[in-house]
Amino acid sequence: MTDMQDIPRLSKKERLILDHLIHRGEAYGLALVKTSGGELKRGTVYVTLSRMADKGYVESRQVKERDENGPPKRVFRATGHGARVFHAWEMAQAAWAGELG
Amino acid sequence: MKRPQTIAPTYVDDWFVLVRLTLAGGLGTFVSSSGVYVLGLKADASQWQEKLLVVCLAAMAFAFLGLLGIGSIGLAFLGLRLVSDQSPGRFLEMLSSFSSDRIRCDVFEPVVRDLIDERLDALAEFEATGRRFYLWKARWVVVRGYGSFGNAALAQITLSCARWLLRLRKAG
Repeated sequence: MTDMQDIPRLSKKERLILDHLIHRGEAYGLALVKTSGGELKRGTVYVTLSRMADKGYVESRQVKERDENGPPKRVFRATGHGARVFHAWEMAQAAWAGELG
Repeated sequence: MKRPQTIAPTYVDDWFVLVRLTLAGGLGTFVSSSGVYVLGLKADASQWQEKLLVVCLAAMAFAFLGLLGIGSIGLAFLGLRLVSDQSPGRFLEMLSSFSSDRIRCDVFEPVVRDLIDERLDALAEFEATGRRFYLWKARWVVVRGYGSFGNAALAQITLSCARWLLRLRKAG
């Protein structure tokens, strides 16, 4: 039997981010904040993304533009594992909604 | 719209430097007063000696802040540099170097990058249109960027503490 602790969990913010990355492709953290309608905050979005990277839901790469001062940009995309977890969550939600309805 | 690659000194607005100076003054006074208290000089030093020490410690605090690169506060106060052409992200970059490499790359650097990008966009708009609204926007972006950095640091510290407690609980 699967240990309950082994089941991947998704918080509301993580679902929002995965939803964006799966359906609209890779994105910068700031783009995620701007399209979230106030759900994601500038300061904490990168902490959430870092935690999701630890869980294997997203991966990122640095993008250094030419003649650019300061640290490089970081672009994020959903991993296969992240997409599977998100779809499993969607199916579970649909099944739950069906059972209630 | 072409972004300015460096922040020209003209963008370092008088009032913003004034705000920084005021903040540095407050910090300097606090540090120097704490120094007087810690050194225990209040009891036997005469009043002018005490004041002199406060002034010296405040000057040292200003110089230290200036060396850290907080805009132009420290060295500017000492008359060595009146304006700064440094991006405000530089100080945050330096602060983020205290964290681990992974957290710096994943959490803090993107916050600083967003601040720099949004500020440069606002300044480019100002350069193109000449409307002061964009200059105010650039200032607001800096203030908000510092707030975002603080939020990120707070969230990261909370998360790290929670993980540490969890590990401790599992080990115990």
